[in-house]
Amino acid sequence: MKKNFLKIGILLILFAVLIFAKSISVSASAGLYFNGGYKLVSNKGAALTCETQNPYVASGSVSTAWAMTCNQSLEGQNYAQVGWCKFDGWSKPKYFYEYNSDVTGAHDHKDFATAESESHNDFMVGSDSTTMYFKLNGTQLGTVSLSTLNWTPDTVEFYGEVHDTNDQCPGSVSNPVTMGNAQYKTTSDSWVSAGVTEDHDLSTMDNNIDTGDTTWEIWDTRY
Amino acid sequence: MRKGMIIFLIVTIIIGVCSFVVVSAHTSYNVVSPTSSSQESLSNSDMQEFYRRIGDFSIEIRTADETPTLTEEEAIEIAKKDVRGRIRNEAESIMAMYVKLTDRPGGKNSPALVLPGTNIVMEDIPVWIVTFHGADILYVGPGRMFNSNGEPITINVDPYVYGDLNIVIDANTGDVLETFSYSIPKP
Repeated sequence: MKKNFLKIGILLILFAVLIFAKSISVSASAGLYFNGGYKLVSNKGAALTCETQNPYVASGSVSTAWAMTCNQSLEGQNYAQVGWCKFDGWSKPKYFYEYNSDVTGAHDHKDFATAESESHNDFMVGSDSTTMYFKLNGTQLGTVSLSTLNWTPDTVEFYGEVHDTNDQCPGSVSNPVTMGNAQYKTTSDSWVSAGVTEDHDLSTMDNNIDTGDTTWEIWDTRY
Repeated sequence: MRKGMIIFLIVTIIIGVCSFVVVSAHTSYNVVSPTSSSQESLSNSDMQEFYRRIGDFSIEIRTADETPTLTEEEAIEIAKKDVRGRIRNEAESIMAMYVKLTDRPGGKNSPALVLPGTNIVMEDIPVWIVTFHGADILYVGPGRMFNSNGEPITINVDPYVYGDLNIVIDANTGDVLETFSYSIPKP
């Protein structure tokens, strides 16, 4: 009788340990993980020349690289970005722009087939007095009125990003993704260099950014 | 001794059940492909919102008279395949519309967009627009967040927005040309 209890107990402990292990692995995999640089500065836009690659993407996730102007002082998600992205299920990445305002509730995303792997493209998100625009190699992809956003940019960001630790961060050891000519638009409407501060989340992410750099490379150490 | 064994078993079971609950909570973001094959119509207010929003994306549509190479069912299947990694739950409805589409991101009188990565001029292109209405859509943002000291912080956000996801498919080749999505109020 005692032996049976012991056996059942051991089996249940094993079951519990297995479930816990799965729990830990799942909670470690989902999230937002960044590799790149940022600059905290009042601005009217961000621009970056960025290489496109075709990374591995885990189920229900996305791997992406972009330039962004955003607001950090208000609560919530207030940003506008342009770059390339590859969602799970796509054979190739696509160019995209996206914006969000937790002030007004606006959220739009648009993507365009197809982003050429290994190509280097100029991404720009900027604003004039009334409108924010999104450009690819100087061609306008879309606009949104500033009143639809209703937030003031105070940060520019230039990142590769994944939503799952199993995603490939853009770039590999032998073929990193190049990000260059990082710029921001000043509040007096001049485009100037955006020397960034390095930032990455995962041990599988790496880059060669030194503080103040405007050109660098990012990669996934597993590839 | 026996009492101790029973307590030991109960504690173990509780740990197991709690662990299961934790795992269920964490895996609730698993993506489920939309499986509804029924084509439904949007309500009048949803259609009004659709027409208003395509204007925000600088898209113009008009009636297409020619018979498309691609059937409606084929277009919906292509769209489902394209969005399978982006929609968390089943969409409330799926609608397909056969139209001629023009995309002028520069404004009404500007030239039509040459689709990036192609030489396709997005003017009067016969397309199927397949709309996944009322879906949880995976998005790219929000980017790195910072605390009041300007230090990067890790945030735990649900990277899905409730809205309409529209897949624009060339009605003759079956290629997905563009995708646009926007948030809508939850019912």
